[in-house]
This record gives sequence, C-alpha cells and structure tokens, in this order.
Amino acid sequence: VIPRAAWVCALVAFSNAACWSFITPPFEVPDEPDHFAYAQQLAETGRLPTSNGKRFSQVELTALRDLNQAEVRQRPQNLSVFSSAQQQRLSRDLAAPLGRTNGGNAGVAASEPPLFYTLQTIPYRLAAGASLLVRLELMRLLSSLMAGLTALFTFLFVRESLPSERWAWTVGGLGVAFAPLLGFMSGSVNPDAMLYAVSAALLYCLARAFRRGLTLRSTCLIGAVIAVGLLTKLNFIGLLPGAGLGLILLARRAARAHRPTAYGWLACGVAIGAAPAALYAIVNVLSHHPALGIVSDTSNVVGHHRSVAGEISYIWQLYLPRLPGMAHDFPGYLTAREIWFDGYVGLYGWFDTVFPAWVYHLALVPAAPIALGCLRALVENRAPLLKRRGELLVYAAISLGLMVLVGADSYLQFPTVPAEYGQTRYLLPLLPLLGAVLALAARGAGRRWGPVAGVSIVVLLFAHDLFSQLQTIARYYG
Amino acid sequence: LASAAHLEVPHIPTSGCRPTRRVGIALVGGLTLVAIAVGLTLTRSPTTVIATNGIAGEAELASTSSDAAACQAGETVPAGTTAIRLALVAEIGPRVAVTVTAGGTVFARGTHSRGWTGASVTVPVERVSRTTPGAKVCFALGQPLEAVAIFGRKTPVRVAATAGAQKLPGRMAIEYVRPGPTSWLSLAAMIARHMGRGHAWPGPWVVFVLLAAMTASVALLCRLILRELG
Repeated sequence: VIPRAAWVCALVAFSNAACWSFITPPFEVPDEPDHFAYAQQLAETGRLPTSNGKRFSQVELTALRDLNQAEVRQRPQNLSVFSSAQQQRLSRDLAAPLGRTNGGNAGVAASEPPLFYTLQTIPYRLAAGASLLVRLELMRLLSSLMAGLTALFTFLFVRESLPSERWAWTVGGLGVAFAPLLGFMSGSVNPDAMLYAVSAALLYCLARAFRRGLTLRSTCLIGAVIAVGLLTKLNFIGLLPGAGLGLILLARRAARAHRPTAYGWLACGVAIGAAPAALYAIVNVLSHHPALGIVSDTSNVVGHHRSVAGEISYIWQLYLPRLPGMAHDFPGYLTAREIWFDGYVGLYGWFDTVFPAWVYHLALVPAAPIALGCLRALVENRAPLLKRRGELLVYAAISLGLMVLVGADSYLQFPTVPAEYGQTRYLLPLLPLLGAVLALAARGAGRRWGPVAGVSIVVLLFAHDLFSQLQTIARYYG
Repeated sequence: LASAAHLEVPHIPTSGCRPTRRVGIALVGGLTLVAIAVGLTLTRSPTTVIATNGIAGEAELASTSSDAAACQAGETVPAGTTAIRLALVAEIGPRVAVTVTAGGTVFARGTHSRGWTGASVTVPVERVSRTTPGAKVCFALGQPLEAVAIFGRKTPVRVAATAGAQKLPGRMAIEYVRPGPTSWLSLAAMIARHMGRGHAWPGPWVVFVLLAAMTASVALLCRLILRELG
C-alpha cells in the first residue's frame, strides 16, 4: 500500500513542476524546440524523425520567431515577449493556418527513442485546433505529472532503503519534490522528465527486491521498468550495468535460499528488459536500415577519438580533482564544485539564468551539515550497512554507470567543447539517492533532533525552489 | 538502517516523546525566515541598462583560447554605473577582470568569477560617481577552458579595440548597468502583466494560478510535516 504521505509528495512535485511550466517562457528550456518538433512529427505524421536538422515546422518556426527565442536565449539582458503589440503579433501569426510537418527534422532529439514523444502526442492531439502554445503547455503539464511520479518513487525508495524511521521518508520525498532543477526540467517538454521518473522506479524496484527478496513478479517488474527506460531516453543505458548487477546479486541470493528457479526469473527479467531494443534492431535490419536506426550515425563518432587512458583521465576530472600524471583537462577548475554543485544550486533557462555569485558560496554553508549529518548516520550504522554491501554496490554501480556515460559522451566533443554534457540535469536520474542522503542527514542529527533537522532541510529546499523561481521570473519578465 | 533480511512491514519509531512542539517551532521559524528573505529581496531594485556604447554585438571580432586582455578607448561611462556588460561568448567562461581608466587613473574595477555561460558577461564594478567621457575599458580573461569570442561591430582601425599592440577589427558591444530606481515590489503589477504574455492563454491570471499553487504547496508541506514529523 502506498502511504498517503507519498501521494502528497507527488502532488507537491507536480504542483511545483506545473508552476515552473508557467514561469519558464516557451522554448526557453534546453533543447525544448527539438523535443517539441519530435512529438509534433510523431503526432502529425505517425512517423519517427529521420534527420537531426533544425528545419522545424512552419508553425514552430513562426512561434520561435515571434517569441524572439534566438534573441532571448543565452542573452539575459533580453526579456521575453514584452509588449502587447508583440503579443498580438504572436497570437495573430499562430492563428494562421501554418504547416505542422517538419520533414522529419527533430534536431538533437532525433536519435532519442519514441516512448516519451508518443505519450506527448496525447496532449498534443487533445488540443487539436488550439494554438501551438496551448499544445506546448499541455505537453509541459504531462511532463509535470512525471515529476510527481519521480517524487512518489523517491519516497518509496527511501521507505524501502531506510525503513526504520518513518518520518525520514517524508524528508526524502519532500526534499526531491522541491528540487528546483527537477521542477524546471519537468516543467518542459523534455524526455529527461520521464527518465527521472523511470530511473526512480528502477531504484525503488531494486530496493524493494533487496529488502523483501526476489520473486518472479519483482524480476519481471524490474525488466519492464528497464524496457520503459530504454524506450524513454538513451541516457538510461548508463543505469544498465548497475541494474544488471542488482539482478544478478538478487538472483544469486534467491538461489541460495533454495530457489533454483531464480536464475530462470533472471533470464525472464533480462528478456523483458532487452525486448524493445532487440525488436527495434530486428525491424531496422529487416527494413534494410542500420540496426540502431539514426543512433547508428551517432555511434560512428565513437572510435574517432583519442586514447582510452585519455578518456578515463577526462572522465575522472569531469567529476574529481586531477591526479598526478593526468593531463590538465580542466586547468584550475574544481569541476565537482563549479560544474555539478553550482549547476544544481542554480542554472536555469538556456544556462543563462543564474544567481549572483555569492549565492553559490552561501549554498556551501547548508550543504556541509547535510553532508556531515549523512556521514554520521552512515558511520553510526556501519554494521547493518556492511550486511547490505551488495545493495550499496548496486547503487554505486548505477551512479558510476551514469557518470561514465555522461563523461564519455562529453569526451567526444572535447577539447572543442570542454564539458558538452557537464549539466547537472543529466545526473538527476539519481534523485532517489539524493532523497536517501537527505533522509540520512536528518537522522544524523539523532533521535531527539532528527525531525527538527528534517524540517529544516525541507524548508531550506523549499526556499531554494522559491528563490529559483523568483530568479527566473526576474530574468525573463523583470 | 535495516538489514537485507529485514522483511517485516516498516514500523513507527517508539523511542522518546513525539517532538511536535520542536517540529512546529522549526517549521514556523523556517517559513518566517523564508518570508522575511523574500520580503527583503522584493525591496531591492532590478538592474537596468543606463547606457550603451551604441555598438551591437553583431559580428565576431576575435576569439581566444588562452588568457588574454583587451582595451577599448573612447567610452563614456555614465554616473551610477555598478556593472559593465561585455559582449563575450562562452559555454564555460573564464574569470573576467575589468578596469576602467580615464587620464591614466583607475576609477572603477571589478571581477566576475569563472563558470559563466552565454553571449554576455556582466561584471560588477565599484559605483561610478560621475559621468566620465573618454574612458578606456579594459578587460582581462583568465585561462579559458575553450575559445572565448568577442562580439561587436567592425569599425575603422583607428577607433577599434586593441589587444596588446594588436588592433582588433572593430569595437566591442558594451552596456553600463545599475540598480533601477524602483523596487521589485513596485514593479509587481508590470511583471504580472508581462508574465501573461508569450504563453498559452495570455493574461495576468497566470500569476494568481502560481500564487494559488504555491500556497497549496506550502499548506501541504505544513500538514505533511506536522503529521509525519511532529
């Protein structure tokens, strides 16, 4: 039974993302024009995109032009549509019968799998006859629902992984529900929103299986979640090594507990998880297309690059300080702080909406006690933790897999672009782990003060979200 | 933390008294602090552009992948300037230090830390007390991770910006910024109108929806915290 508190966390996350969807001007979220084009192509023609070109439909190009998207994007001195004359022009132009097909162009989104976009065709079609902006807003609201699912599964993950203190589940769930980056991304048309929800579901299913034991049902469920993840966004591949390790460990444990059929369940789960990708490849091969479709073009880039050692060094430095003997890939930069931490604290819009510099320094002040509280809780519970080392290894492998994927993709553009995918949003599939960290941090304050610490953490994150929204309002409308 | 073999239904902690009072105080205190911070923020003024050098950032003048410096003479820096916006383009921008001189005397300087992104960087400087024509605006870039481009307009060489002894092919776009005369609070109505534009279902109603959603979120937050943590 899902506790009522979990539903409340989901409702708060949905409400928060919905607020972001109204605050952020249309197409002022990274790659939103491309993702919208993909969904539009699917809705209007029933076919997948075939090109990563940017020649979008006439109606989308008109909206981008009238919204001054090119002038506003990455130019924080330029506000969004400001005058009533601009608004009238926008309304008039979008009311005209403009072309809605884009010749298969979907920009950077073209290589992504179709599930998220297929779902987005529902609100797109529901608003048949309405303007593009109405369709876009309804699509954003569907993404906002996915933020609710992310918070829901985070709550359930914390419940399964830290079951002994009920109140701490709420700290983890609400902490993620108010994460401004989750709200910002899920308040837009971007498959990241669904990726976060599916990743949270995967972590929950694994935690549940580790706690309650593997069954045929739970194995099939994990396989189904993996299948959905693979159909959602390619980045989900980064979670596969950890998920695979988890299934193997769980099956081995179940087999030891006199259930020899556990390895059969494992095969069943793997088959379900791999089915969509296999089916996609078979259909492509039978229709004389590259096995991985348009992704094949991207995969060709791999291998054109430098040494494996150079790549490992680069990926290491993308997250951690350089070790002796490594090349200086980020000279003078502390990437963990300046790319990932600061990116989480505040980087919205097309990376053009930021807080004043002092805010990023100030953010270290609450981050330190949260880290210390978490550390204290871990040290105090090291004995039970040791018994759960297999489970912890799985979470570490999931995190590492995602980080390596982001690093390896970034390395393809290096050194022309130093950190192409050095954006904190790419690590948000790990949000349930953040929820667990927040819950542990509160518990680290002890039984007497733990709930008070939990309240402080939640209120702090609420404030973070509120000021992030105000900063975005100031940037686009001030 | 529970062991891996912990299969029973999660339980409510049984130790100690329910700290409802402490939780309530923390909640009310925290939300009060947030309200005070928001109030203080709204009494501040947004920055506004008080002057530009009339150059549009329409053409790339130069780019550099190493630490570099450039100067541009003939600038008029208006009184009240508290920040200078330079048309520099980068994905992960380096540290930028700005120095403004007139007659060989430095009258404003400031720095912007590295890590900025976009088509401009706004560097806070000491407040300029009086309008200064004929000033020279110089900037120095720290070691960048990638090429940083300077944007502006192509001009005759004699008025162009310089990088050391080398003349750039034009002048860089520069804007002079300071806090506006009115507070965010007094601009609320204008911002509400503005937020109603460029969206689905135009109109300032969107602000009331946002306020209602935020109020509902706070109410849910309070109720849930008092029920689960109290």
